[in-house]
Amino acid sequence: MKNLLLLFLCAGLVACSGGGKVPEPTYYLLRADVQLPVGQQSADVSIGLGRVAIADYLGQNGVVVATGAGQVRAARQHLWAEPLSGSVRLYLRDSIASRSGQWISADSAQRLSWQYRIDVRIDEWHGSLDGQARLIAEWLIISVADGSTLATHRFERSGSLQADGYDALVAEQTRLLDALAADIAANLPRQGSQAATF
Amino acid sequence: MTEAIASIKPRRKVPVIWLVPIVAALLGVWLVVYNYLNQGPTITINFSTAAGIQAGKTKIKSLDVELGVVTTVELTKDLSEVIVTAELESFARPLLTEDSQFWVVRPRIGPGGISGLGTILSGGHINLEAGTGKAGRKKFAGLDNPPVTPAGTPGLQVYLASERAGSVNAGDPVLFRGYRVGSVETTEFDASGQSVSYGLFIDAPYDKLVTENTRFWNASGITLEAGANGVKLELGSLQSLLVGGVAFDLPDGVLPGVQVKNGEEFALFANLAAANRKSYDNFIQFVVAFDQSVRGLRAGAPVEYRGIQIGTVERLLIRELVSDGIKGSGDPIPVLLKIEPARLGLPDTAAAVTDMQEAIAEGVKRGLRAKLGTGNLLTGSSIIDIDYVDNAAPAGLARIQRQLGNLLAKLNDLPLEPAIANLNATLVDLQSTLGSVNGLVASDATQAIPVAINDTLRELNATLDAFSPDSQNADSISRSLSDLNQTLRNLESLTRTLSAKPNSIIFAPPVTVDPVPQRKD
Repeated sequence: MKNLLLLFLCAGLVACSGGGKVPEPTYYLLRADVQLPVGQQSADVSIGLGRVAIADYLGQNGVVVATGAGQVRAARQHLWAEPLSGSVRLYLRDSIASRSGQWISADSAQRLSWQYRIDVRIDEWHGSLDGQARLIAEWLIISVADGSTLATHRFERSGSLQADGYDALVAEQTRLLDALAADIAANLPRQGSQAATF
Repeated sequence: MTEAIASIKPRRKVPVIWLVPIVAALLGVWLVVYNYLNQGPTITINFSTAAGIQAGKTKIKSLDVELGVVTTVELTKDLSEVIVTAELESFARPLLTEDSQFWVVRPRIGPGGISGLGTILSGGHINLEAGTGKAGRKKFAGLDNPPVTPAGTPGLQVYLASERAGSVNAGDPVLFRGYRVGSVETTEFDASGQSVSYGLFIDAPYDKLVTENTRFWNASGITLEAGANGVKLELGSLQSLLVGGVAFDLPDGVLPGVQVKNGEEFALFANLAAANRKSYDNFIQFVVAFDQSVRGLRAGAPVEYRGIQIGTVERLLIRELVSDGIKGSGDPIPVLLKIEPARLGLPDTAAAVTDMQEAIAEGVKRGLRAKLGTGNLLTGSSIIDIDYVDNAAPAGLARIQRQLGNLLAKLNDLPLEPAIANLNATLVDLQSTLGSVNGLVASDATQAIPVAINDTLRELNATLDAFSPDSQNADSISRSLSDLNQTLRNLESLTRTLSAKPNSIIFAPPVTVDPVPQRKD
């Protein structure tokens, strides 16, 4: 009798705990849709991607959306597939390389052969409920040999979503990252030349 | 027809109806008598203030049993006191003895702890502590504070006199070898005698411990004494550290003597050391004069003969020195000494004093002099050392000159020439050692050391590079920290959810749907 009562109790608990149906989360993988040359790269890589620092509030799984003035919220069902600190770095590396036509190293083991280093800091990178995506970043190119700064730019841009929903938001955020990469690529010194153009 | 004949009965003298008022009157009388017989006593108590006393409300209690209530509160004619009148129950009559005590119970914080907390809510009441004397008293003098010792407690009452008011207060414990055996009941300053009098009550059966030779001392807290004999630190028991107290015992080697009676007076010593200090009835006083600094010499400093204490310094006679006016002639400073023959094992008698006086007078002729000595390097206290001096020169510059002469003589006696020869040989050895060191420094192996150090530094640089901020290791550490941050953030979210809804660990919380960003048209 006692066992039967226990069984009912467990069944009741299970029934209660399974009350709400949680929707399946959507994961977004941040990768640059570019074609890079496949095969062995030259060991003599002159440009490297150094530090890519991301604002602390972006260090969470959910896609961040501004819900009001100074208010943000991380989505619970729309998540990044991997930490942004790594994926943004990879994305920028590929996107800058594609746009500049130069191989950009993101491997710090090769840093001794770098002539120039790109450091990026992303201060804001989120969407808003009224259909906007926003990216504020600062980047600088450093001459590794003497530690001098060749160029430093502040990048600030917004874009409107093409459709409702998170898919469109992530697409717009990606486009903003591309614009940042293009900005950096346009200012990179050409390989073999000195950065006399800055 | 028969004629009815009325039967005639004689009329009663007292109508039955009169029984009613008679019974009523008897009942009334009975009620009056009953009320009179059951009426409790009415008493008056004089208090210095009526704080916490209200007519018709404040109750008289004993052992928390209600005995009566205050009926009136009035001022005396000279407005110096308050007269409280209270009506008590009849059963309280035996409690009103000659030595019964009354006091107002209100919240108090004292050395004995916190008391009367219950009266915060219930209001104050007057407590009656019944004594053992004859019953029937109607007028009482109320106490400002609860009595430390209840009336009629078996024990012994003694009084202590002290020149200074220490940290002893009423209610403080009286300790015998650390055990509480009584309490300090009263503290009073006697303006005429310029002393403080403490009333102590020693509970039975410990009252037998107090005898004529018992000494009492202030056992309050910490005593730090720095004198010529060194630094002494005495700590009392934890209770005495916190609330102070008085301790008593017999000094070492002293017989107890006869037991004392109530009201005996004792001296209160400042500390245990002072209480243990032996006192001698017979002594001789000497004056010695120092024409040097008497820094560190204080009253009570020991006077020693070759290390054996024979007396103490009574005081520095500064008043006497300046009484004739300051002459600017550099007169020596007189110091009064008290020599006690009993300290040397002689009997504490006048005869011993005479013998000692003669011995010292004879000694002075043969060069017995008093010198200032260092009693304690730490405290800088001085003692007086009495000893025979070869050519009884006065202390001061002459002595320093003699010491300087002795020092020069010792320097003369030093074997300086062999020492200089040894020093020469040592210098030759040092020269050859320096030559060897030069050779060592010039060798190829030594020269190669900087190169090796350079190589090591280069390797060290490479190793440190691996941990530089843009290195792979730093990247890996940074990523690990990022993961850790992420985990902690998730944990924080979980904690927040659980604190908002503790049962969410079993019952799933309501699903919150992400707000959807809307395209701007």
